[in-house]
Amino acid sequence: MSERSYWQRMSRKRMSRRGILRASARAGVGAAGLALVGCGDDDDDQAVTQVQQQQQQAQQDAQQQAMQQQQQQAMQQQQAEQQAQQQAAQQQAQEQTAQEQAEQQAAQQQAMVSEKKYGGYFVEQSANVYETYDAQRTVASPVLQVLARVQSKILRFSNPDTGELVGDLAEAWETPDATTIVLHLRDGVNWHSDGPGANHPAAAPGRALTSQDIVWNIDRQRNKLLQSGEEAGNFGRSAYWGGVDSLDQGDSSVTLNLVEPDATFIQGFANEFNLINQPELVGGTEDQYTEVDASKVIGTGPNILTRWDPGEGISAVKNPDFWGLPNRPLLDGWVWVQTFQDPNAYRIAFEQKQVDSMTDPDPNTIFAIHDDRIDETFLTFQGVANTVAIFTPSNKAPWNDLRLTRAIDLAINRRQLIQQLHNGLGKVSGPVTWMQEAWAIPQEDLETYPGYRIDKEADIEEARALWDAAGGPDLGQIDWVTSELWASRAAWSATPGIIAEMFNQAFNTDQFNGITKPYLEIIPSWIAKDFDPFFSWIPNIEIPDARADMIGAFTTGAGSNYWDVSDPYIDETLIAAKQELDYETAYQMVREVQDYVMERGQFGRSICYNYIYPYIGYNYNKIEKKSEEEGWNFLAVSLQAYEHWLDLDDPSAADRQAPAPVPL
Amino acid sequence: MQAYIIRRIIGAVFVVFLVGTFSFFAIRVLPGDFATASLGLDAGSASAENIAQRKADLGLDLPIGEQYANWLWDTVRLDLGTSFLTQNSVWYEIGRSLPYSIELGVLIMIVGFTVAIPVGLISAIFQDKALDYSLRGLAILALAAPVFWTAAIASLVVLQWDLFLIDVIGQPHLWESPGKAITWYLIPMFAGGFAGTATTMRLLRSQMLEVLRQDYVRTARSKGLTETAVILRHALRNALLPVLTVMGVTIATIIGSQVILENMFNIPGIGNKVLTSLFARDNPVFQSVVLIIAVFTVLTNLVVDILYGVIDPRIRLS
Repeated sequence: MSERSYWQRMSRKRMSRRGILRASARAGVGAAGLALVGCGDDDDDQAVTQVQQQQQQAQQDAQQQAMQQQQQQAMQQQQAEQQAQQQAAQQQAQEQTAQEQAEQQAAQQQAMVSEKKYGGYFVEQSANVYETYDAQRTVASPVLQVLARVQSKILRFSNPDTGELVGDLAEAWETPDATTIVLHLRDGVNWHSDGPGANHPAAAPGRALTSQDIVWNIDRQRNKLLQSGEEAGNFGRSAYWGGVDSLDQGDSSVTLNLVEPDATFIQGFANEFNLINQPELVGGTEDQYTEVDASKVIGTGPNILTRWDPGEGISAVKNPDFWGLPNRPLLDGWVWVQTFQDPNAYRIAFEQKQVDSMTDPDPNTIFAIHDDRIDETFLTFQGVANTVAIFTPSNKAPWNDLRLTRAIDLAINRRQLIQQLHNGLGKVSGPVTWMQEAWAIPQEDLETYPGYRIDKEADIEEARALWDAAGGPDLGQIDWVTSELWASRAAWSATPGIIAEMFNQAFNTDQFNGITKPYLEIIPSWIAKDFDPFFSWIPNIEIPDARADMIGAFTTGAGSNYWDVSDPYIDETLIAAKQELDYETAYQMVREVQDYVMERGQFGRSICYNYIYPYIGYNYNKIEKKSEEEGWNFLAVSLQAYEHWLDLDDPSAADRQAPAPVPL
Repeated sequence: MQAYIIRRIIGAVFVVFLVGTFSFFAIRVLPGDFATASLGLDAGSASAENIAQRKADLGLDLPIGEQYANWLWDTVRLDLGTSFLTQNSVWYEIGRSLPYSIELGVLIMIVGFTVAIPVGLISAIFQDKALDYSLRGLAILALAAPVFWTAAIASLVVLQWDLFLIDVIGQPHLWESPGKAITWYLIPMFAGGFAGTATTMRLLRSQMLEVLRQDYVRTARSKGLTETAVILRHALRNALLPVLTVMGVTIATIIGSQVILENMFNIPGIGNKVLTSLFARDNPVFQSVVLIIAVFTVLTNLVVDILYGVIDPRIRLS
């Protein structure tokens, strides 16, 4: 089965993925590394001087060798000229032949390339509900699934799983010191000159992107201010942009002065949510920001939005003036059809090739379709927005007794939950999830940690001892909440009972009672740090670098520290890790904190596992720059926008029934 | 008669008011709201401020009493509001959905009655014969098999042998692309039709058996009329009267009762709209669609009641 090979490959590639990240980290922060050495203490300065002396000596040696070689070459030249004249005629003939051969090879290569008939309209299902067209004023990923194909970011991931970065609106970037990032903007980037957005009276179509645009977008989010001067509380990335202390604007550059050194900040530029709006259009329509339609969207991205009717349909076409890589985007357009409420309709749409891909929470449906159409479909696995955790309120009694919190953490039967709820499609995760593989505790190590051991009996024994010692049996009935959104899915509807039974069995009691509550109740109480224990997803992980998440969850006073963890060791180590540019050193620091946290029951933030879900597509779907991995663990919309195309000559494309997008 | 009609109209208005009020509170009693539902899996990333802002934008932060008063006043003025989901007016949404439900409903009825009437007739004529037992067995099967099961099996058969296109994305109307529309409606109309067949067929059979024993049928036979003439001209016409009553009730409910089939085949009708708006907590659409279904049902029943009153004075007097 494909999933078996997937997991084997995942296991094999762990180290290579980490290696890639290390390499990209070095490339990305090389300049910063040198700058930091220059700004360091005396020992560092001596080291730099020694390096410089060695470089000067090496240059002198090289010059002497070059002079000697020149003299020898002059003597040999006379002899060579005579021979050369004799051979000239022969060489000329050979060169002509070689040139012809080269031209033939080039023509063949060109023919091979041109055989790829890039293009096609990709049709897929999309969400029904869009709360706004302004990606900066939302946390909802459906919005960016549309906008990331239309708008650009400062940087983008060339591999979202490993964190490899390439320029997007910024052609290059540098970090002259630990708190300064200079973005060099790309020339020749223009806002869309056609389409509904370009025709909006408030828009400035076809105008060149300026450094002022970038400054406006950053200022807007870090200050949480609308054009009207009114403060808005719904800027989803304001905490990230709040890390910018000040901005310096050049003609084609923008300098960000950070509040403090942050080695994770650059990856945030490529976060799929950090899209750049046109100030004129978004600023001019701020009072209608919930009224979603294509006329309020303009971008600099590879596609132009031609239709956005929530609940009905969405489409985009290729931006003919796109400044990006040659031939990009490879697709002629996208069509998003409204969400199917019923799997039967979705299955019909896929099997009759009315949509080009399909995914479903119930993997058995996907497996059945794949088995039935094995010759014309591929099966892959994705894992976006799928971290599952148990949250215990360790900030208040009785759970502030860490023995209880640790007992809960030990009693969670993570592997059993993966089997019961996800047909075995998942892997256990520690405080850093396996999705952020370069920073996670490797699976083979994790199996030795209490709470994660294969031999669950040992965990249960330890958990029961802690539970009894901390007076767990005297706590009376304990209602354990599952979010209704989770339990509303047929395959997961039994979850409240499963969770309660898991703890009842572990502690040999009947105290635990599974209940459901809506997110609307759970989230505010969680944020107010006055929540009941619950089981649910953890918010999206948006970048591969795990340091930001760890700092957010475990350092004193951090935004996502709902457990009021305040531990000087964690604070010092994680802040140092955040500022550390050497990957191995930083990894070690994060790893030590993970160990420390796990010894304390994860302080109530018990990450359980990350599940994956199957995704099926027809073989005519092609990705030009394919990942070594199957699927993506992180949102990869902008990458798809660049690299995806349809090979309509592929046999699997026969009888395809694809609706075309609304034209420009 | 006039007093009777006025009484019925007042009753109908009261029923519509009650249904509307019920739908208004029902969707609010359910956990969650559009502000949270629109965030989906990302709700965990939302700050309380974010959700509060969203609720304020939608008017969901107002006290429930104020929301109800606003809704009542707007409804009386026939202002059904704007869909949270699509930003279109609710009237536009209903206007867009209603034709699909009518198309499917009419097709289901055509299938249902086209099958039920001959089958009921044949079953009565061949009472207690093998054919009768077979047809009654099929009727019980059609009654017992859930409509979604029949539709799902039929879908799998079509997909397995690639029989025809079920255009779940194109969603063509019958008048736009009759061929594509018919193949799209084919499974739901037969699945829905067969499910309705059983009741009508059994009702017609029992009515036929009763009528066939009447004196006037015996008289017709004794006059030397052919059996076909006796059955079609004398028996069937009388046996159909209660069946027509059932048809009337079916027409009244068919618009809003195809929730399952509309969803299974992505037909954007009224039933689909009920479910979509319920899942998304799109209050204006949910309330209005339920109200429209109620109005339609009540109006149909009102017309039937008045007609009964016209036909039978005893009903009017009682």
